[in-house]
Amino acid sequence: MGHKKFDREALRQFIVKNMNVFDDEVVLLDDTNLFTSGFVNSIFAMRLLNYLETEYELEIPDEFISLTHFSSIYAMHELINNLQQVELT
Amino acid sequence: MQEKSLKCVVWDLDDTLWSGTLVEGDDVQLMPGIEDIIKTLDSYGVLQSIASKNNYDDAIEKLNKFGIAEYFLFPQVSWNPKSSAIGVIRDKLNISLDTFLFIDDQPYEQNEVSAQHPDIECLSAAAYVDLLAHSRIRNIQVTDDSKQRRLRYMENALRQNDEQEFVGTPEDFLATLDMVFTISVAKPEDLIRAEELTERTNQLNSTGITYDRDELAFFMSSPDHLLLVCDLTDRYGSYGKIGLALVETKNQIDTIKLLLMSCRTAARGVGSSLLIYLMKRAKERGHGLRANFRRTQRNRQMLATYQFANFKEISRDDENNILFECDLSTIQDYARYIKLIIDV
Repeated sequence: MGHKKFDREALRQFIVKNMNVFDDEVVLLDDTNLFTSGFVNSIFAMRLLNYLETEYELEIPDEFISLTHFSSIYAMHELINNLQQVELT
Repeated sequence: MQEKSLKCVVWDLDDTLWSGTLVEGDDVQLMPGIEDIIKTLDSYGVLQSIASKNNYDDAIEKLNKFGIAEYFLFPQVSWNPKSSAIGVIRDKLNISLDTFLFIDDQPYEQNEVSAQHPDIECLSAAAYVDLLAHSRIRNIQVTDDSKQRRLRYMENALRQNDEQEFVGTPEDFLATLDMVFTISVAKPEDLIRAEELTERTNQLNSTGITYDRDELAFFMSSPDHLLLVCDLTDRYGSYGKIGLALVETKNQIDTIKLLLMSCRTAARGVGSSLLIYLMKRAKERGHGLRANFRRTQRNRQMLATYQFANFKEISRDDENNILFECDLSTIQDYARYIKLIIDV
């Protein structure tokens, strides 16, 4: 059984919908840092954590709960890929 | 160890709260003396609810007629299993099942609930007369806060309702609440509530270590310690004293011995606000900042609060006691939708 493939577009939509900063004028790229903007706080990080865990049906281990792993769409893609790899082995 | 105090009593109706069976058309009457017991439990801060197999409207109308409907939060009256009714109540109240007591005249219902929720204590209906003498009720510490507890849940139900209907980002909703978060140095009159917070708070709790009021009184007057309490209000009302921080300063290093926030405030961002305050405070004084942390089954959210604030594990002992350190190079801003009052 395969894992659910990471969907960057769905994540981008989630971020845009849940965050005030990224209005229509701002382009949210895969490597845009969500946190250096200063607008994103740890509550939003919690929301991203919950979103990823629900969407990809996994539990992110304690040691991966840090801003670096949630700092961009790209970083989250990497995180989920790595966790799915671990689950396979 | 002291028995865990009860936080919620769930009542059956027919032949438990009242005598007779409502759907059979009986002229049901409240059990003798039960109204006083319900009101007394309420004044102790014990939440109460209903799990009854009945027609919802009929049962609620009857409770209204008896003038006691307001004492029951999220009454579950339906033909569903009582274990699922209690599951719903648990989710609404957000307190753990091992602080629930279920009272029902039917052994079948008690067994059904016990099978699904082994942590719940079940009592037979006749036992209600001695309920106030129950050891897990006698050991309750009544504070000013406990008397307000049911009211707070009702205010919160309003908040949640408005939140569900709100159109916009979660942050936009939080901005409509007009939250005022106050951080102040603990005073003698705060100590009973502070003790209670260390006992009752599980999810947003950094160590789970409980302190009694004598220990807290010591920290309050110790020159090496800072004991802070927090309260939160918004346009719906007051959440009361909902947070606590204990900081020890030694050799220019501040160590957060305990950080906790009542689960009433979950997803409001006030835990982070308190942490940001402690970070700014340490930085201003040129101190380092560390924090003790003990991972429990339930405090993942507090772990995330620290780690998302750039705290990193620097050591861990055999019993999984973690020491975090934060280099204070980047400190997030306070949430914009919270007005902060610092009274230290």
